[in-house]
Amino acid sequence: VEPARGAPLDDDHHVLRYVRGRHVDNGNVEGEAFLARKDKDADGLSVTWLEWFSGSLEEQVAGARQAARLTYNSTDRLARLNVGDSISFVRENHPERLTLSFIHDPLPAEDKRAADPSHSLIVGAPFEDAPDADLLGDLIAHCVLPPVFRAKAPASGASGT
Amino acid sequence: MLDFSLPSAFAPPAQNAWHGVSSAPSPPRMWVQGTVQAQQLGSSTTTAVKDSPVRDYTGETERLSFLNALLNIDLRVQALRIEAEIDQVPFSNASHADFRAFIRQVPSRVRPAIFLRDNGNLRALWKNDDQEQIGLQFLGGGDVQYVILKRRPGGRLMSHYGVDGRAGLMAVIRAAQATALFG
Repeated sequence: VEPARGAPLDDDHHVLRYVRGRHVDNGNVEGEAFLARKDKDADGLSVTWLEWFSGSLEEQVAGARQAARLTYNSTDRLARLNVGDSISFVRENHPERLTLSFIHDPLPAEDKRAADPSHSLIVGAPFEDAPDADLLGDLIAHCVLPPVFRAKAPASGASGT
Repeated sequence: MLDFSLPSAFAPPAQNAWHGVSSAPSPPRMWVQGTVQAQQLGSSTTTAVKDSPVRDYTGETERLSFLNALLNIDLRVQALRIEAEIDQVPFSNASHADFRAFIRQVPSRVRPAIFLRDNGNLRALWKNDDQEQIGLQFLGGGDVQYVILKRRPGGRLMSHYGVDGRAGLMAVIRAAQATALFG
């Protein structure tokens, strides 16, 4: 059953966050990938709810690639976060006990774009110019689960990581 | 001060102190704190590198590890420079110069993860398996934005973050007892 818009994702579920290639090095993800920009992320950080798609992890990631509205470069990546673990880790280690929320935010079809019912948001992160923004970005980056996936679909038979 | 000029990706910087560094073995020598000279790295310059704040260089193995890390850092930065040119995003030469100066001041045997920020600055990240880290964004002009995470014994991470010059930054890193993260 599709949750209502704004409903929190289950703690044991996962999201994928698009990360530019220059923000990934040897599997490490730069915290800037998780900073909210005032002009683009006013409602929260866009992520893809992985459990919306059925099948194995690889099949879920493939579904997320197909649903994406961004055009990926060959070096871009998709970083996976567990919802509950990310919330807990940030709350436990942020000096002000910041609590993030992961909420469902399905996108309707518009123009030539198909609907994206897997779209979700990370809410509660400060904007990128806040004093503690880099700290928060790094805390979230510590929650990234290996492997970091290629954003662009790999050639047939090639690894997606 | 940020320099957002876009240098050619295929032409190395006019002055790159790391170029010419040789990894060929040489007779063991003791590198003494406060008297290390760039000459020892194979450079033609004789500018003294004074008061290395973290460690003495002792032994050939450490020296080679440091040189290897320098070369790998250089390769990574050049790759980021090329990516910046391809993507037509800024690459700050001032940030790069600060990063190079820092790496020579605080020699690390391990190459940090290195990222190119959207503002064109380089950011270096040293981390361990215990989720401790030193993350440094080189702002240009000598200032560094830092995020240091150090675990309390058996407990949560203690965070230190802010902006400081290199001298002040080293004091923060020492106070956080995080120097071991440099490897």
